[in-house]
Amino acid sequence: MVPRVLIVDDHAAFRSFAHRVLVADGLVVVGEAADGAAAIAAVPRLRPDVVLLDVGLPDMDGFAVAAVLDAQDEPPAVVLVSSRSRADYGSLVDASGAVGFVAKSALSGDAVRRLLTPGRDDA
Amino acid sequence: MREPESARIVDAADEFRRRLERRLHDGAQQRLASAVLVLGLAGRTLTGDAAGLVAEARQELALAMAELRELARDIYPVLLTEAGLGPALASLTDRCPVPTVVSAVPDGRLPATVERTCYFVVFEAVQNVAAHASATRAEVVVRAEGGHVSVEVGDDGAGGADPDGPGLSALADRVAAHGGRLRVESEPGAGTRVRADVPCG
Repeated sequence: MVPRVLIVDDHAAFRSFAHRVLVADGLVVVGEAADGAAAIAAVPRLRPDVVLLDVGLPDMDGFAVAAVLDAQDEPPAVVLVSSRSRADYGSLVDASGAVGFVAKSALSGDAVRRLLTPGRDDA
Repeated sequence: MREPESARIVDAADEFRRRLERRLHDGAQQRLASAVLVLGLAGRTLTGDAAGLVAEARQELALAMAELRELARDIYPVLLTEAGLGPALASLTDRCPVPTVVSAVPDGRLPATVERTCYFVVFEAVQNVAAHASATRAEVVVRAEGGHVSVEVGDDGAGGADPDGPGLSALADRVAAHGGRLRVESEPGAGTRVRADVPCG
């Protein structure tokens, strides 16, 4: 199954490059959102398998968005992304319900796929 | 109650550090992350020497990003704001070259100035452990009791730290600005204990 991805980030340039990287790696990008509210509204409509979710959004932080998504019926897998590293967020990542964390500079289709595989390790 | 002037100076400097970290993250780091992705995309379309050069550029840029990230974290740890002292100390000690455990830390949040004071005491102390102490392990203990918080960092290293050196004396000033007191015990051969007591609440 090809994962269908929603990209959530307030930086338009990052959304655009992430979109191209994921498509080049064989994933399907079903949409983009620029803030938490737009992401929460888009998920029931677009039904992505994966939400690539920036931790630092203008209206609410990614951890809060992840918690809202996690409470929905059939929640998508959430992959947190940031230009900070996982160590900068420590236990917040574990507590968020996200399947994992990818540093923005390490984003690839494989990095996302690995997190969707049971028994995976974080990139 | 109005804080004394020295406390307000320290708080203003901390606030500046917090904003500086934020600007690094929102600005340069975002652009570098995008540039790394672009070079990755470019590399896919290239072959031969050009592919190798682009891969090298990408690698250098990724290293620059990692260095900038560490610098930003040293300026101000975002985890301290977002999650509080316990998670921030866990992340800090995880990255220490000398094995360091946090044996005790209060649950929940403390006043922001207390969290910052405690964090920077531990930050300075573990940096000294890594740089000077020849220690094999270190321990961090934070306790809140009876209207004050104590934070102590002990190691099993060489001792002989100079409390009047620039790092520790600046730390003593920071602690004193918030009405606390810093003590350094560092007999040669007997390890070092840095302890701060700060009023809380």
